Amino acid sequence: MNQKILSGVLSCALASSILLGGCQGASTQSKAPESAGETSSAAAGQITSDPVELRFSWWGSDNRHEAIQKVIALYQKKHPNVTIKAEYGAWDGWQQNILTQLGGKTEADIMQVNYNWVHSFGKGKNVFLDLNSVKDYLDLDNWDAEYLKAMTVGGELAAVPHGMTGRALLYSKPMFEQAKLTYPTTYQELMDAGKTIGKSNTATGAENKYVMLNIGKECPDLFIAQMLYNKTGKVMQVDGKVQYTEEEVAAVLEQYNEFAKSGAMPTFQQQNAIANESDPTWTSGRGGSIYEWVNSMDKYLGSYKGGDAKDEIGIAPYLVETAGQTPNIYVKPNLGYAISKNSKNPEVAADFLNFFFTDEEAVSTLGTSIGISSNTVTRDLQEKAGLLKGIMKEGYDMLAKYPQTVLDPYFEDSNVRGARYAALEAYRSGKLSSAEAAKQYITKQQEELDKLFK
Amino acid sequence: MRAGSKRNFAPYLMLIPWVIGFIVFKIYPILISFVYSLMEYPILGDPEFIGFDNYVHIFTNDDVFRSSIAATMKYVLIGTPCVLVTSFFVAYILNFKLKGVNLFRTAYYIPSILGGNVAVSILWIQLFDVNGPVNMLLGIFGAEPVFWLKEESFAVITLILLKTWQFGSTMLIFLAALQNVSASLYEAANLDGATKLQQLFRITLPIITPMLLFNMVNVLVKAFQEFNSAYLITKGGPNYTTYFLNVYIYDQAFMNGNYGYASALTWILLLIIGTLTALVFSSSKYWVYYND
Repeated sequence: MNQKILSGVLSCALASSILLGGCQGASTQSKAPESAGETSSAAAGQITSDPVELRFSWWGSDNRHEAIQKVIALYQKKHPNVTIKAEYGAWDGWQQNILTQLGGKTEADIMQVNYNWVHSFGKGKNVFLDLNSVKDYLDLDNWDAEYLKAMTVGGELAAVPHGMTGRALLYSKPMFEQAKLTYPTTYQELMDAGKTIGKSNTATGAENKYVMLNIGKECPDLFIAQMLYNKTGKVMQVDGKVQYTEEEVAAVLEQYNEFAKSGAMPTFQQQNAIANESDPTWTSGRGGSIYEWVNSMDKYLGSYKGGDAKDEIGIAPYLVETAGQTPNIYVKPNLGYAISKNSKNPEVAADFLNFFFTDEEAVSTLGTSIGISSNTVTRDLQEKAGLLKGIMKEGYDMLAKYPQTVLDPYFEDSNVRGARYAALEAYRSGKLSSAEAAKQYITKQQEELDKLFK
Repeated sequence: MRAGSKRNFAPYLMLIPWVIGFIVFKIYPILISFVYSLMEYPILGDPEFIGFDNYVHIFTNDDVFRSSIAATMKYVLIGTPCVLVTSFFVAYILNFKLKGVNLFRTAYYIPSILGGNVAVSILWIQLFDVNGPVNMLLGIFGAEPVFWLKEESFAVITLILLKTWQFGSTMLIFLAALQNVSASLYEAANLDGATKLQQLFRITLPIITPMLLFNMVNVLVKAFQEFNSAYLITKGGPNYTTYFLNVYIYDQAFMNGNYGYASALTWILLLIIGTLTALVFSSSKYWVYYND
């Protein structure tokens, strides 16, 4: 009998391991676009004529994947001795992926990086190649010095930014037309609009409508950060010190809670678990607006009513405390491009990046899949190609109207941000009072900053 | 004698690849992780020996760890009995000679194959949405809608239900055990006038206790190692009530790059699992019956 049982157990274990093993899948895709031609440019010949193999990793959505692969093919066509393997995937888990690769020194030669990574990964030390060392191949004069400064760590240029980005409000025009309202411009008007648009809302209503959707954890965090900035005139942190008092934070938290109570925003419980552009409240047109990075707005445009009602979407003015007040806007480098310290061919990698930013065909092929660039040459080429149009352009124009403040590099550090997320969730879910949450918001965030600045 | 030595040497030779793999991929990482746990070891920086500071910090100054351990214990202590009872109950039913029983056996096994992947997580999110099918079903009986994924007291229950739903592997092991219980024992019990319930508790359960022990240890260990459901469905929330230790370890190691701290957490998890497993094994002499 025991033999039979053992046999059964082993069979089950074997079947489980095979079947579950079969369910495992690589989260990334790797592919080397084939070289499309045999011509060689003078630049390639200047660096090397030996065969070169590079890896380029990035995250994004399908349109970015397709565009970048085409650019790689264009480069390979001009440089037949160079093969660039593409490694790409969705954002989710990408930070962990890159951090692990860097830890094992198996990272790609060229990497798309986030603003906070260049500062947080090395805790103040640069972990990427100093791009000043390859400036003969990558024209750094095409960037504003301030933008390059944002990517400089310990005196070394860790990455070059593609562009600058900030959050803006993307809104659904029909919702406000039907309610005979214009989009609110002050926090009080936001609450008033909530009382009109959300008047039929119930605690669990599947058909609830909201003036604004606070998707995920990042959206409420950045909205509250801007409220704090607008109300106090102070930024979140300076030189590793949180700038707000508990009273200031508590007041903003309470007002934010009032937005939810008025029906302007979903409550913590009403907020959909699908925390991205597929949030059904947004895709079905029951969300009046989204607070989103301007370079990422296209994905919300694409998911709104199945992508068939793009004309219904516009850019709303920023919300402020009192009418006529100038909003305080946070911006950050939207994406950076770095080269590995372990790359065997950093010059070729730099040459590729230069091509990426300055080749007319490459820029045209990329379109606005990465956003509107702050590289002067890229931006001119984007304009020449007629790419500067649509909702993304409107978003950037809205940003450009107001004074901008570059986010502190550690604002988005995962621990610092995590401390804010935890306090906000505890307050919004009713676990903590506004005073308790405000205290936690400041003290826990400060503790994390202290670790970075010790 | 020389020929005999050759005969004895061959099996060891064949074992060498496995032994090398075991040492390199199991023993070495386990041991080195303990060394790491005594260091401040940023993934992209130089490690620095700090003794037991990581452990001291975890036990004295880490609120997230306290929440995480509470969430994990709740999940394990409620989830393990749920899986064992459900899988045994279904196996017991599927052990009867029913029409189309093989179809049912396959159908009940399928959720185990799916595992905790993204598709299942989306399914679970939809099912347990406040306006989802589960609440609709409960509404028929007059129950108020529940925010399954947003209420602290319900979020972990939702994940336990997912774990319970995926009882297929445990069920199959029970089924294999049940099929090996001799029919003559039931015939004798029937002749003695034993009821079905008496047969279950006096014959079936005692005979399959070795398999119950096997399943209990397996489910317990896997429950402690749960990651996917919390990471994909609740993201550890609300308020860390589903932030299982494995998620915390993952975040510390791969999100924050704190290998040393993550290693210390891993050793604590290992000690907890080891202690509970040892307790189960040591208690087994009182309730597990071997017939050989």
